[in-house]
Amino acid sequence: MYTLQFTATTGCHRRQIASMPTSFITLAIRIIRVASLHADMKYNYCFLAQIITCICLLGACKGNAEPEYNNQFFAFGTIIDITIYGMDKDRASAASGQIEQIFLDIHKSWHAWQESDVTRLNESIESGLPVVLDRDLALLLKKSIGLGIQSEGLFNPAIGKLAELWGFHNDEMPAGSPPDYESIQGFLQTSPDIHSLVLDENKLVQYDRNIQLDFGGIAKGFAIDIAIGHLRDLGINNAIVNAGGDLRVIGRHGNRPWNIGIRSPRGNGILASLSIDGDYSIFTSGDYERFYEYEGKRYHHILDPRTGYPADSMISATVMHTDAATADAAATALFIAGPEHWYSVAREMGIRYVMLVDSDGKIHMNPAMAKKIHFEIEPIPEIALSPPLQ
Amino acid sequence: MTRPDWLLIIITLAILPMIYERLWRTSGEAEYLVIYTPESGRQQHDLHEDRLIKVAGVLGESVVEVRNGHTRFSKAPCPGKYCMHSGWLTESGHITACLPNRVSIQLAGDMQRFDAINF
Amino acid sequence: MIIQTTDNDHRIAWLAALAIAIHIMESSLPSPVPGIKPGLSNVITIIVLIRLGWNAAAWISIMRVLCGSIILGTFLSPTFIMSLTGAVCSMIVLYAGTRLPGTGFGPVGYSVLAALAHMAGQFTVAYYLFIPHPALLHLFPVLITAALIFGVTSGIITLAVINGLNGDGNECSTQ
Repeated sequence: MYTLQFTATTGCHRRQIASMPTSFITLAIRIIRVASLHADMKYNYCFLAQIITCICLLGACKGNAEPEYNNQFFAFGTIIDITIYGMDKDRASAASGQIEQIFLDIHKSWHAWQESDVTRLNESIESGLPVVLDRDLALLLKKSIGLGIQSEGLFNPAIGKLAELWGFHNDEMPAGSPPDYESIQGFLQTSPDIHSLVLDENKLVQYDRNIQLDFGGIAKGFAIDIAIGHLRDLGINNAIVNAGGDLRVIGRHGNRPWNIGIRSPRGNGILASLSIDGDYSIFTSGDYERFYEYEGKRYHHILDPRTGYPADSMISATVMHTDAATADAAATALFIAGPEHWYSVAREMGIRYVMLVDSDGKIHMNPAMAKKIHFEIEPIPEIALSPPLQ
Repeated sequence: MTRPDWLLIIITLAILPMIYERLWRTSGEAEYLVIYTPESGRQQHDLHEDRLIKVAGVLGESVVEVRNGHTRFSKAPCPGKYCMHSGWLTESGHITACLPNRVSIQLAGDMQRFDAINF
Repeated sequence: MIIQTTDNDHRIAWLAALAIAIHIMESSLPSPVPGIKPGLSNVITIIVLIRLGWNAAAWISIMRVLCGSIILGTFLSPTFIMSLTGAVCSMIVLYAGTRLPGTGFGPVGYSVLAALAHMAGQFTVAYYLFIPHPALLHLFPVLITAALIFGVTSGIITLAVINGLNGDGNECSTQ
């Protein structure tokens, strides 16, 4: 009798994990039965051995029982890393393939400098032609206008010309000197403003002809939101979509929350970590992402629309927010806002969790973020806490 | 002390090393390296031995260095060298890529501390 | 209304009071690693288990957790929940232990069983309810080792106390 039960319980495969609780219940019933039937039996070590086998099984099965699917692909000008929990491999792999296609399509239609819907839109704006947008692009533009206004113009998708002037509209970073002071001042004179864009349904009814749209500060977030929406449609509720370090997390990792590390903006290690349960996007804008150096000075890609130069008071800005598009735009805006101004911009944008590292290495954050974050380095850097956000 | 007492202590002592082995072996350290290229897919490499791994990408040959359980791009054919600037990967879950050459490297483990890394 | 009490109730109350006293004394001792405690009140539980049976032992151990936490001001706090889980787990395992046919466990065996179950239960609650951080898992082997050591130690103490109670130094049989 015991040999039979042993083979039944020791054949532990991934598929049998689900039946583990059942086997423990049957063991419990057996304990009681054995106890009442064989109370006078001497040295019934089989029973003891069985309990121990069950404990060992629990230990042995735990390590490789996690149904986690992980895949990577190149799309959207970056490496995209998909993690799906609790879904069988075939369905997860099919979902990942579809997400890859979504990213490839979006990237193609929203590219800022290669022939795309966005470059065609910019050409129409420049020549003053009437502009009709497709549904997704109209949504993106609408969201961008809203966020642009909330961020007091710090997130400004209308400064495509400035990015081009700096040479950031290229797969490779520019070499040589930054643009001269006069041409930047010339650009600032035209001051293309997101306010001047008026959208009626999917028609752009009013605009400033100096505007060149560049969705670099939001497109990745928006695409991640579309990808997450698609995963949800497929019935996947526990996943991470990570596009080059900016990510959105839904659900949890089995019986624990997802653990997200935030890389130190200087050096190789992990600065802090967040334990995330539910639906959050984590976006970081940093001066280390895309930059070039000229005569020992670093010029990075996050341009301050007020000065026309790379914003220089921050090293990195990390934002945690539900939707990725907002998190993306907010990370850019707060990076530019700097240590004095970020709090009011974050409030205006409805952001609840912020962590910034300024150029002295000091950390600025709001109390809710301080409560949620766990520092992974010793000693913990100097922290300036802001008043609560909302 | 009765025989079951001794048996219990001996069995517990026997199981203890197994628990240590299982929960301490990985201890957040990376267990293997995954190199991905669209052509050859995901390839696993161990991290025990320090060495250079040559990977063919669309532009040419990227060299991935493995040292002390960490990894990095030590040579790349791309003009920007961003992959090399991103430095050593030290934690499981850490991923970096040479975009122009279409090669990505990631540290992974069965018990990684982080499910994803934001940067 | 007067609640009728029996001699047995009084005995349990005395023993529970003793267990609570030991529990409180122990909680004032500094601990190198959080979660590691000698668990000396275990001695009382095991003695009661052997001399008065599982029911009495369960009463005493639950009363110890409840009253101890009220006195220490940790009632319904995480500490209390962990302590209660530990006590419940060890009582369940001890129940299974008393049903072991044959010679059965002696005080040392019971004590080790109780200590291991207590630690495992407590850790599970700590991990799943309070700090679901994988780093906590690295602490588990250390905690279980400590539980084994303290289980054996308090088992030997229990053995000595029982032998003292019996007066003749003979081993005590189950119930």
